[in-house]
Amino acid sequence: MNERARRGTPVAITGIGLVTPAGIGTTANWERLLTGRSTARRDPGLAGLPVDISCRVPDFDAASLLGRSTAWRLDRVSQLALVAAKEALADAGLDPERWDGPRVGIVMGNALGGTASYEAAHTTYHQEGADQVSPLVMVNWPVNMISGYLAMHCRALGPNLVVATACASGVTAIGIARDMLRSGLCDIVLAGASEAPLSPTPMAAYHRMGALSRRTDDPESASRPFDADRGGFVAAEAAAVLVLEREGDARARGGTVHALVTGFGASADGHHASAPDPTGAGVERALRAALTDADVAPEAVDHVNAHGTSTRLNDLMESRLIDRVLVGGPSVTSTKGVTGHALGAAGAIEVAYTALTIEHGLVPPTANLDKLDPEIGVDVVAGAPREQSVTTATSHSFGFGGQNAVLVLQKAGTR
Amino acid sequence: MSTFTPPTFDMLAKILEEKFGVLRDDIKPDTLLEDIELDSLALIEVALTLQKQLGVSIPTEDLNSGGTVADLHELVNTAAGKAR
Repeated sequence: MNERARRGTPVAITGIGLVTPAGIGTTANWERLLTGRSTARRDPGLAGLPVDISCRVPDFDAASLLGRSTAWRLDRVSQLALVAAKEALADAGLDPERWDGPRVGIVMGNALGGTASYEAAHTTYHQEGADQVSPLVMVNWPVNMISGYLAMHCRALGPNLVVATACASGVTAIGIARDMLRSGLCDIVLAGASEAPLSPTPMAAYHRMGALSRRTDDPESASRPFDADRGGFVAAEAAAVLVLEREGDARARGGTVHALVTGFGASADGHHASAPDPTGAGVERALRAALTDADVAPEAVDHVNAHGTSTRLNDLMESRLIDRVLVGGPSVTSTKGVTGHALGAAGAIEVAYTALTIEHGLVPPTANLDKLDPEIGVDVVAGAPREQSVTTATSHSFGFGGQNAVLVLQKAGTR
Repeated sequence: MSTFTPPTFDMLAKILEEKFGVLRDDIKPDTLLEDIELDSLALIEVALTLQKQLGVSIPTEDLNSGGTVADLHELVNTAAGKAR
């Protein structure tokens, strides 16, 4: 294949693994998503904090899912990732014992690292002294360990990295992974993201920023993207891992193609530490770059899986972006109404959901959208799933620090 | 006189099984620690756990994954002896 052909080659999603508040496994996730019911609950682990609600993975028993001898060594952020990776590999029909390990890469996204490990060690240090601090903190707190552990367990011996672009990390990871396949650096890449942020210090800080919904008396109503009464996000833990291959390679081995990743764009607002640029100039650059990369006209986009955090600033800015750029009037959903906001993992989960939306021809509804914000003029799907044969979709993620990333996904057979 | 009772081999095996997920059948006196995936970092975690459960300070610098479960047991008992 010549260089020019390789650079334009479509990359296929051939395996999906999901461990989210909507369930463990892709089937559980999809079924829960279609109900449009929030997973937010009171969280005993956050008891005593001003905001003590979250979205946790239900019944996540790492010892039974991974074995006790593995589970005890890993922070939850790596446990979630490993369970998701195992599902993705099984879905793709790939056996790490049989693949060419050095040609398999891993790119994961993450924002906060092993927060629970760090927080526990910090407490131990202050209460019991330096001699009682576990050395395992240093192989669990740093963000790079997520993909490091995946390589150890999946015999993926090629390029291995974790990218951090805050809440855009998952989309950035999948975009970089796609480019690693197009460049010929790898033949298979496991790409996704993981986040386990539900420990007290980060949650206290997010509350102090004013980012979290304060509906602690009614958690299920708290995450309400695009609703007139939205007031912040609900934090979540989750992981998603995708198996990516060049479409031709996937077809040649008889793999199933869930959807194609055809465009990636990224940008920086260069504006503010936490607030999005209200003009949307930065996110527009990322969106237009992704469309150009995919060679897709803006009006051809028929569905958007929005960043849709349920904060006042993001949802207004993003709806204006969609209205301004995607002039074909795409259906819009924010799956964060169901899952909450899994920070660095959110983008990867939502790319997986976008692929499933394309595959099933069904758009999951945005939970808790009772009254659309009158300033928001886009077609947000609410109430019930909408049947729609989606051919071209965008998935948006925007992070603190003004880091933005957008992917274009298309139905298999459209390229 | 201390009321401390040195841990029996079975007590040590129980901790390795329940906390660290080592299969009980793999825990024999001559089992190499590295063969049950107790590397140097993991052994420090084992020592911290034993210290908490037994109330005795274990010199982590003496832990070696090239040793056996029997060596670990002896180290704990020696530490216990010094504590008395």
